[in-house]
Amino acid sequence: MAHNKAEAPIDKELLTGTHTLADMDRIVGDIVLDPSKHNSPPIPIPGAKLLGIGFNASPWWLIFAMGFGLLNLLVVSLVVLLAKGIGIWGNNQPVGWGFDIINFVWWIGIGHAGTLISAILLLLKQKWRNSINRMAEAMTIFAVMCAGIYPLLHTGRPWVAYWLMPYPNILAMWPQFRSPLVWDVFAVSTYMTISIVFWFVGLIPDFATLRDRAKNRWTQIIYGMLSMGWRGSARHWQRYEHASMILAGLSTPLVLSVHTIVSYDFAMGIVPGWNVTIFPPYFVAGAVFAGFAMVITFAIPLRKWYGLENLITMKHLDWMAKIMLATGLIVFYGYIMEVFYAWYSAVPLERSLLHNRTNLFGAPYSWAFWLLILFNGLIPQVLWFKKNRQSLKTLMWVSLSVSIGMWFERYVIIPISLTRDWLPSAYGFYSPTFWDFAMFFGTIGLFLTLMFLFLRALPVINIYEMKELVHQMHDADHDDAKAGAAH
Amino acid sequence: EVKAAVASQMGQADDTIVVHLGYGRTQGGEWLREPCPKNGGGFNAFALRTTNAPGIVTGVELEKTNDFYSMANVQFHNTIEVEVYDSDREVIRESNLTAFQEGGALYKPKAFFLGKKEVQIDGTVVPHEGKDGKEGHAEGETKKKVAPLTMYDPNKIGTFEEAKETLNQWAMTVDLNLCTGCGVCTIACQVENNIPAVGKNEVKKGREMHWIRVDRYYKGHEGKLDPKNPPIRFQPVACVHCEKAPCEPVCPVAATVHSHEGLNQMVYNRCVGTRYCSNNCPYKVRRFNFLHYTQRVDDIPILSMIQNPDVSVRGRGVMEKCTYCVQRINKVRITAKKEGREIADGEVVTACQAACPSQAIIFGDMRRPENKVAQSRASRRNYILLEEANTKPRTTYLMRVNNPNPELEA
Repeated sequence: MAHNKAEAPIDKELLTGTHTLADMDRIVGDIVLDPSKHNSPPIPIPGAKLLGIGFNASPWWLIFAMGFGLLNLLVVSLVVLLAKGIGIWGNNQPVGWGFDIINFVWWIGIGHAGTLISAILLLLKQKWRNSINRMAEAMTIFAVMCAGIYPLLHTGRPWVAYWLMPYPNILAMWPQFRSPLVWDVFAVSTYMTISIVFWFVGLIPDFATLRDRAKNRWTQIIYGMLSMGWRGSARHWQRYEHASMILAGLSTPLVLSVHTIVSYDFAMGIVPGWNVTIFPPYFVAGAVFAGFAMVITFAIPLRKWYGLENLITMKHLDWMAKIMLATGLIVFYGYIMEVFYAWYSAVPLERSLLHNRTNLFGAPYSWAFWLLILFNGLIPQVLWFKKNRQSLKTLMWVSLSVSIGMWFERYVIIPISLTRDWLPSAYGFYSPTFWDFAMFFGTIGLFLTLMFLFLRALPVINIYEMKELVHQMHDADHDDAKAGAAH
Repeated sequence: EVKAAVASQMGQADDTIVVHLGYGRTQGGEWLREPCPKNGGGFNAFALRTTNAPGIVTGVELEKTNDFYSMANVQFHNTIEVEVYDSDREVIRESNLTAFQEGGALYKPKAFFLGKKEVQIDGTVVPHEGKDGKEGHAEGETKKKVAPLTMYDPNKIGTFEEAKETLNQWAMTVDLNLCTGCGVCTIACQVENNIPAVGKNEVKKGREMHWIRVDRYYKGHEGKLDPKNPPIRFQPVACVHCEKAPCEPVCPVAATVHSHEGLNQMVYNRCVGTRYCSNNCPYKVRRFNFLHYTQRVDDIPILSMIQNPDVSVRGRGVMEKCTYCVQRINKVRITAKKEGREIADGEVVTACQAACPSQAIIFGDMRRPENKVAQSRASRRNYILLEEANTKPRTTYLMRVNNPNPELEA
């Protein structure tokens, strides 16, 4: 395949070291097919020596065990929730929404990086997406799964939550389409379906690779079925390219629309602090911000434990950090503007919003706002400096800070605005209960479990796209050699 | 000996303590499983009474302990500034008689200008004569377009002779001059509408289920409050049945809808419990069944005999709120229909209205100008709570007008 000279030259830093096509199969495929890959490097369990435990844990087992434990906590929380009711949480009057919606929005936000990387960067022909898109897209799907638990189960009567969907029924009732919650149903379910389809279509050539490399008969059969008869013929590839482009085109508007619609849950309300026009772009930027933070949080240990440093290089981390910084600045601007408009409008309700958020001495939840400014506004500013973007430790800390900060952003928006709104007599308070936290950490457990099962069972990097990168780099080398030889 | 908790109350006379006698219950039901006073039953002050002297006891000593007692308050100690008369933000409007009689923008009856016409309280539209015979504006009014008090124009719906009985437009006024803050409206509503008692722990979490509550505010002056004797103001707040209800467009399953008679209806069997309506209500009058508060009635079936059979009992996960005693409205409507007549003024009496000892609540069909509620709404004292939210509520409040002795003021 001749190197298309009209395209931009391949950035050599995207794939370091010398590799062949077979290397890609091996490096990524073996993570799935070879169980021993998950055993190194061994991590000493803290306190193991004291307890007399003789072995060191593999990172996969350690984190999977943690995730699975938390998943069990989630199951217990859900059972108690369904048995007893929403009252086990801290929600009350006036705070009808608490951790349930905070966590819903947090999880949906985290999912946005995957779609942006898979779809928008594909349409923009950015080659650096090749090694991270599979993992990021998986993150999206699992994050949306975790998020989806909340709208279904935060309702008082979850057994009839399906009434939010427009299905033909004998009640002769449609859902009430003017409600943002119905829009959420459409947005989130579309997001889920398109993400799964896109992810799966992308996986087909890789399933074929695994099918061809597998030694175990059952493995061959399962990946064979999943690869749906992929032969790698020219026609297959052509259809694959077309399908990817179409799905990317469908997914691109979703990056903007899904979180916009989630922001309408608030922006369409009349609660001061919710009825803010900047919400749609600010939420979308925040979602990309949170999503990239989660991708970095995963990518850094992943590349170290599985020897993927040449595939997910410092250049990738650099680019991701830059996107995080850019969206972080938009989000910071959003915080400042909200507070500025509240003051500038001189509307008494809005001015009181200003007081509730910023006044550390008068307002009970203002600590959350200042923590938010610290985690989301100030700490990410270290990414302006290249040295910090190159330091794995700094990147890890910053991305964790952003994840926490994005959670606080929704905390600031939801309980602070609800506890102090129109009528002074209705002012309230919000204290989350054990079950609020249990369900939240439980969803984190679900996410970790799914991610680590994904790590074990599916190729964590898009093998085909990496081979494409290898090929294009070879061609570039040939062209350079030719150009060199010509002189 | 009685060991009891002390709650300081602003405005109480110095060197006095008020101790309440109750009905002598030492243990409660489902929500009061543990013996009183731990779970909200109170303190047994009867221990101070003796048969020798049941009316008075002397020689009582008071000793302060270092114990801590957790109280369940339904409201913070909110203060509002009611001195600023031209503030249309104030939730409790108040005036003294002199200022009221002098008049001014705040004391106009709520007839608004819709473009160049003046819309009267009963909805009739009067074109306003300005200078040069052209349509203009009254003196002192600006050109701004102001929304009418109600969206229901009787001229459009039809005359009373033609109207069917479904076209009553229910409205309510609450007279803040008459409200003493006794709270009987809350209890009457609870009894009439099968509102569950949730117990002290749930009240502490902010989940009391009262559909009508009496808000209590302390009145300050220029940002300062006199803790020794602040004026206290009461305001009963229930669902005000907004014509432009913010709760209606946000319900995803259309469980809260509007009737042709002006009631904001809560449809219990459609509610899935997303609680968006409660978040969007600026008056915060919606109540959610966070737990199965009527478990006790399920356990002991005979307890359903204390409930009102005309009102459904809500299950877990369902939102509820004031219905303008729709069961009473329906009962009267059926009677009137059987007798082939209109519903008379004062025939429908809501539970809160019936119980109020000072008759501060007036309820009825607002379209007939001779009805009490229409006259009440036409009063110069009438104002809308949270007017700036533009919800056009059917329940409006009559401003409090004081007439203090000038020598007291000095």
